[in-house]
Amino acid sequence: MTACRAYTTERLSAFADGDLSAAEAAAVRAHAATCPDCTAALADLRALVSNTARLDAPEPPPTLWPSIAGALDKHERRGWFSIANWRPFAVGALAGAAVVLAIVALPALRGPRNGVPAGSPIAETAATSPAVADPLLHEAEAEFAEAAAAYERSIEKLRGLLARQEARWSPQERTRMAERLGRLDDAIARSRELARRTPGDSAGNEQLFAAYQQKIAFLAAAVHRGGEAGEWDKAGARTP
Amino acid sequence: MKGGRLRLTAFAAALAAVTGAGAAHAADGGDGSLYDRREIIVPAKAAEVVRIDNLLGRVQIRGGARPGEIHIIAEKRASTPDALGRLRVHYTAFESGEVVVDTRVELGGRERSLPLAGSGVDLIVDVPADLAVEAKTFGGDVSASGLRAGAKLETTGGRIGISDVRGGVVTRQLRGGQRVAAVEGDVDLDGVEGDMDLRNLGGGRVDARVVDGTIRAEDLRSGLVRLVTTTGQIVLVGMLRPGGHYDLRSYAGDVRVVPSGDSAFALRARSAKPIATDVPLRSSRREGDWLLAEYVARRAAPARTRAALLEVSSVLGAIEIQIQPRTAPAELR
Repeated sequence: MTACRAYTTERLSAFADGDLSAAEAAAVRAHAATCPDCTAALADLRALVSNTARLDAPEPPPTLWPSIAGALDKHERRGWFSIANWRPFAVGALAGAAVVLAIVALPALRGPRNGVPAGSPIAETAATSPAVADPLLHEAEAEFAEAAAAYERSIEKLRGLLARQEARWSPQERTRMAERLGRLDDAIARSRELARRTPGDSAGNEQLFAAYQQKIAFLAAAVHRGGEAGEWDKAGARTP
Repeated sequence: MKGGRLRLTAFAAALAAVTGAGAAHAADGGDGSLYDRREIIVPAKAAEVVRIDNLLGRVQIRGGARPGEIHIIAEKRASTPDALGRLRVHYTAFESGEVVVDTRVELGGRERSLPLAGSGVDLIVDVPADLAVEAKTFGGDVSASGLRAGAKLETTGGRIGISDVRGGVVTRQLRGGQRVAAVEGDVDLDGVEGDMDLRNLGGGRVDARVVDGTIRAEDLRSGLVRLVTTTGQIVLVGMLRPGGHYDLRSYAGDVRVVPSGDSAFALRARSAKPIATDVPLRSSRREGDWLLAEYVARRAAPARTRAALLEVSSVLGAIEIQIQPRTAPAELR
């Protein structure tokens, strides 16, 4: 059980495994978009599942092989290394590297809930690999980034509209608004970190987009209700 | 397997691998792109809902396939044979009655559901009309027509099109615009950017929300109509149903209502600017920021018929209410 009591760890695990029905999964996704505890728990579960799978049947992340292949190719061009002759070794080394990677990563993933530790091997892999990654992975990440930018633009636009109303708010209303936005921003930051840690996995980006949608819905409701003298605090999560 | 669902049929291989059941056509598109078109008919006798996840391209769903069958046409496109060969389409039937069609791209030895710009898969799926449908795309358009058990469509950047659907309709969209027509069922539309065009909708309620886009609505017969946009305009044309509740709100855009002359309504309106109208309103009075008034229809309503409630609000924009001419249909601005 996470600090949040909305969903048990078992249900979150089922969600991470893709075993919930579409409706249940949508409910969990919507909840996680605004709940930092469940977001963190899901990040841990996904990482755990991913790494456990690697232990059972060592499989490199999509960015690993291109980086090794690129390095091997560099050696090949020097004329003393044949990728064909060395491939069995490379595959073995790759599997070993994946196992080591998973073993090193697991304790870190079970650590603090506030995102990935800065030195996490997974974080470093995700941060450093895209330069040598599969072109299709680049394409996908670019598509996700473009959508994220569109969400950000809409959020900025709504923030601009809301700013016009802030002068009318009481200090308490401003404090409550800041708290609500802080929680939503926290959920976005955690989801963005999850997406960054798992390139090539759409689940992280889906969660990020759900978090953006929650913030947009909240801001839109606040803008509309702001026209009714301090009514923004009654705004629902989804409905303006 | 967790969750008690049992996978009855899983075509783990791509449609390309389903030999004997489908027809394949590969071709060069002439623009340097390569195309590969496959068709397959899959059994769906116990199916109640079909879920289609295609982040790789467009989805078009058509009701009207023979009962117990789902007909899938998949067109893959890519710039290289390698990229073409890495696109997959899967079909899975669950014991719960859920059928899942999804597309993936092979990446690093694993298949992943990802959006791509240069390659993709477009799906045309013919389903029995009585199947509930859920579909999701990323950048590709998604449309549904001829369905009799509702539809839920979701896209990040594609256009949404829905027509001739019975049952509830739900949409979620980041941008791209939505056209929804001829629906008999509750309608719940949500968008961030893009215009919404709604026509000929029945059912209990219509709820449409968009942050940055105009909502144009004509011939809505639902008892509860709620149209909300933050920066766009709202245009509502047609009869106001007796007893119906129309809640039209824009924060920064104009709101224009063109009811038919036979629509009696009670008006509750709020705007920063004077309300422009040619409607002979009665009993006008103020209640805070709101103007309250009534319009009595030219033709007397049957006894006990309640007038519609028309709530119109624009914080920064203008409000206009004009009676629809009898002889010519009103044009949407």
